[in-house]
Parts: sequence; C-alpha cells; structure tokens
Amino acid sequence: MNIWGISANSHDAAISVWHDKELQFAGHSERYSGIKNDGDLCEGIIADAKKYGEPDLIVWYEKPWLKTVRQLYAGQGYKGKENNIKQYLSKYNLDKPVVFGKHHESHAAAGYYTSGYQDATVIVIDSIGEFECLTVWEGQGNNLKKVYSQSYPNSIGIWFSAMTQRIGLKPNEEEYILMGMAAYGDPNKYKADIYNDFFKTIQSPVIKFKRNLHRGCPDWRPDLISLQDTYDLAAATQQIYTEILQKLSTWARSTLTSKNLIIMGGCALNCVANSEITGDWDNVWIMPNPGDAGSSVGAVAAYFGEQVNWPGAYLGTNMGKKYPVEQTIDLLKTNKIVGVASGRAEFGPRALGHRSLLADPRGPEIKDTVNAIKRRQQFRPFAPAILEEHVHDYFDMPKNIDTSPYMQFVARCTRPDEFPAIIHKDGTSRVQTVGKNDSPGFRKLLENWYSETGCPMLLNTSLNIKGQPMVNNLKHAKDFYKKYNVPVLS
Amino acid sequence: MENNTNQQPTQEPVVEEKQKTAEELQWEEQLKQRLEELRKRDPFIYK
Repeated sequence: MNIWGISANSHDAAISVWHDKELQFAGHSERYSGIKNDGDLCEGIIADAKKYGEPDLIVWYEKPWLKTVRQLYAGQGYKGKENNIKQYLSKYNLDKPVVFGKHHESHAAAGYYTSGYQDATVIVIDSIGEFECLTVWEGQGNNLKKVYSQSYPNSIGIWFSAMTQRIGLKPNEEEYILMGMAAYGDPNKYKADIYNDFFKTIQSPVIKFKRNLHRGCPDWRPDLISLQDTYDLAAATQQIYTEILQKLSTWARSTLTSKNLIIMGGCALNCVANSEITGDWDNVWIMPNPGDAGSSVGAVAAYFGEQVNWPGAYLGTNMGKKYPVEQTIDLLKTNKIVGVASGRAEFGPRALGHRSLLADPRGPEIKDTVNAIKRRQQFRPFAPAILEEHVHDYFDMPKNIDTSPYMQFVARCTRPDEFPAIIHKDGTSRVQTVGKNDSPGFRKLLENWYSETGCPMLLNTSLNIKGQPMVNNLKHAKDFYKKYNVPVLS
Repeated sequence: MENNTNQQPTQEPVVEEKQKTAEELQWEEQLKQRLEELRKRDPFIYK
C-alpha cells in the first residue's frame, strides 16, 4: 500500500511517499515551483512523488475545519472554502481517500517516530497550526502522549516572527537572518523593554503574552530604526528566545522522566538556542525538516503510530549519477569554489552536500569570493562541513553533542585564524559533521580532500540563485552556471 | 599642594556623533517605509 503525507495550502508545501511503511521520498514544493516557501503543491513535485507510487491513501497534516474555526476566531474571516482539502487535492487530480492528522501531533510524530529513541520528551514550538502553538509530549515505546498544550494567541513562534517583521525582514521566511544579525547587537539594550512590553507570564511551561502579535508589531518603538537598533533588537529577541527554550528545557527535564530530548516545529531551526540546552539531556534529536514541510512525514508517522526507519535527509529529487569526487577536488584546487548537484536532494532547509556550493575554507580571501557570488549580507555566515571524527580538533561542540549531520547546532571554532570564512561574528560556526553513515559521496569527497590537503573540512553553502530556492535538477544547475559562471558538477 | 580654587570647571567630553554610512542610511529609510506600509495594511503574519 502506498501512502502520501501532504502538508500544503499554507506555507512550505511538501509530499512524503511511503510504501509498506518505508519512507521512499520526501520533497519540498518550492524546489519544483521556484517560489520560496511555496505554500501550494505543483505539478513538478506531484510528478516526482508519483515515481515512487500513486497514493492509495493521503494523510493530511492538520485538521482543516479546526483551523477554519481558529481563523474565524482570529478575525481572519471564514475560510471554509479555502480549507476544503478534498477540493484542493482535486485540483491536482489527487482524488483519493484522505485522513486528517493534527498540526502539532504531526510535528511531534515527525520527531519522535524518526528518532530511534525508546523514550523521549518532545517539545514542539511553532507559530500556529489549528489552535496550538506550544506542546510538550512524552514518548514511550510506540506511545506518544501530549502532556502540555498552549494555544493561540500565546505563540512564541508568532512573537519571533513579529520581531522579524519589526526589524524589516520577511516573517515566516527570514527568521534565520534575525538569528545571524543577533551576533552584531547588544542583547541587553532592549531586552527588558521587550520582556516588559510583550510578555505577561514566563513560568515554564506557561508562556503568555500581553498582546496578540498575529498582525505583527510594526507600531512598537517607532524610534528604533537605525541599523544598529536593528542589530540590538535582533540580539535581544534571540537572547529572549534562548532563555525561554532554556526554561522549557529545564522544566521538561525536571518534570518528565526521559533523558532524550526532541525539538520540533519551525522554532527548532534556531541552532543558536538549541546549542544552549544540550547539557540538560543525554541525547537530542531534531528531524532535519522540523517545520511544516516535515509534517508531511510526521502526519504519516502519526497515522502508523510507531517507530519508522529513518533513511536520512537525502529524500528528494534524484539526479542520479555517481558523486563527482575527483572532478570536485580538481576544481577546488584550481578554482577554489565549485557547485555540486548530485544524487538525491536534501529534505530540509540545509544544503548537506548534494545541492551545495563548496569552497576551500582556508585563508581570508575565500569569504569575499563566495560573497561575490551569493551577494549575501555580512551578517549571514557560511558553514563548514567536516569529517565527523575531526570535529573536536576544530570545534568546541555543545555539551553532549558529538555529531551534527543536519546543521542544527553551533560550535565555537578553536582555530579561527585559519578559517575566518566559516566563522560568524560571535566566533561560532553552524557545523555539519559528515559520518560514515551519511552521504557516501560527500563523505568520500571530504576524505579525499583531507588526504590531499590535510584539511578535513570544506565551506558549504546552499546552491541557489539569490532569492530563489535551492537548485533541484539539472536545468536549475545549468541556470546557476549561466548566472554566476561557477561550474556545477553533477 | 594643588590649589583647587584655581581649577578650571570640568568640561563635558565632546562626543562626536558617528557619521552614518550610505548602507546605514539606506537601511533606515527602507525600514521606515516597510513599517509605514505594514501599519497601513495591518496584515496577518500567518494564515
């Protein structure tokens, strides 16, 4: 039996395809449509998903009617028509039986049932689904039980997005830029103001707000508009989010029994905050696509209600072919920088070697070279991919974290003078460790690079044209080459 | 011994305001405009 999990009709539409409880494919609609964070399905992703089997059943990631009630309550009007999922799927000729999950349960299940843990505490923090915005779950064997729930409008995710918008960035898309900007600001300058003006209660796990931020807060402190104000607001926001996560972590560890933590929901992408709580736990798992796109996997996992085999993050479009190890090394030596688009695309927001722009990370010049191509602001750092067994030679990893295959934590580089290009303003790097069980091709590339140069890491950033989603297929790779004149190997 | 009566009144240190760069001025202008637009439109952040 083939089951498709679908999250769509909101933001970050995605499809997962399962055959007899084995995950065969998971793709993000934006990679096919070229529209960042595309909320809708498109022909490309459906055609790709069908290669792995037509669906006998579709599991939708949330309850549309409950969402309709929330939208009505929030003042967004009656959206019953837009939320008619059978009709929505019919537009794509997906006239199949549909069952509906719950938004936060899909998040929690995506984390717990892919973790391989026999028990875990799951914290889900996002903006909003139906009504829930923060939930805590206890996983035991195949049983996943909700132990705390906080509802709209008390949403940590909405507050973070509102602050993102307040500093001039796109909410629900550029929260990671706020996180990067934070390193340039003073977290203490406006922290008390933000706490006083927005937060009513922070008594973990209860986090309540003084005002509903669903419409943002563009009116808040109109005097703060300079670039330095922006950095200071970003720093304060990031610091407050970190403190909230620390409080939730401390509460969960002392109240619940498991020593394993799972973080899910869009806020789980906050790698700076994630790194501050690892010491509370023996193990931490964050599925590589913890936001709504990942709920296409979670909805089906929740439907099964049992642990599933997690095949890794390379679940998307298959460009086939052998990983171009030798050609990449040759070009890195001569050109210093090269694109690679090979094998299956990553399912998640991070390029993990299969749709990556790679560069020699040594020396001071490479950052400018990559920046000239990516045209990124200075507050957005580049990341290193490193052979797993060498990570401790170069980085102080967060407590109890030895591997970071999906770039979900930051670590202080212990040799900053040698690798300035991969270090952020605060001295940290968002590290990707590459182990023997991760991508064999990318692993081989790093092994050969190490044996030839003595350097076990490469600078790794996403292969995308500015403002567009990551390269997905050969055509996109060619477009990238035409635009930037940087060779892309596949 | 120093004669305090002859001491000149302490002068306030002169702090020169840092000249804003073109990038900073552009950021400020853009942010002002964005916030003004948002105040008019009053949009929901999430569906």
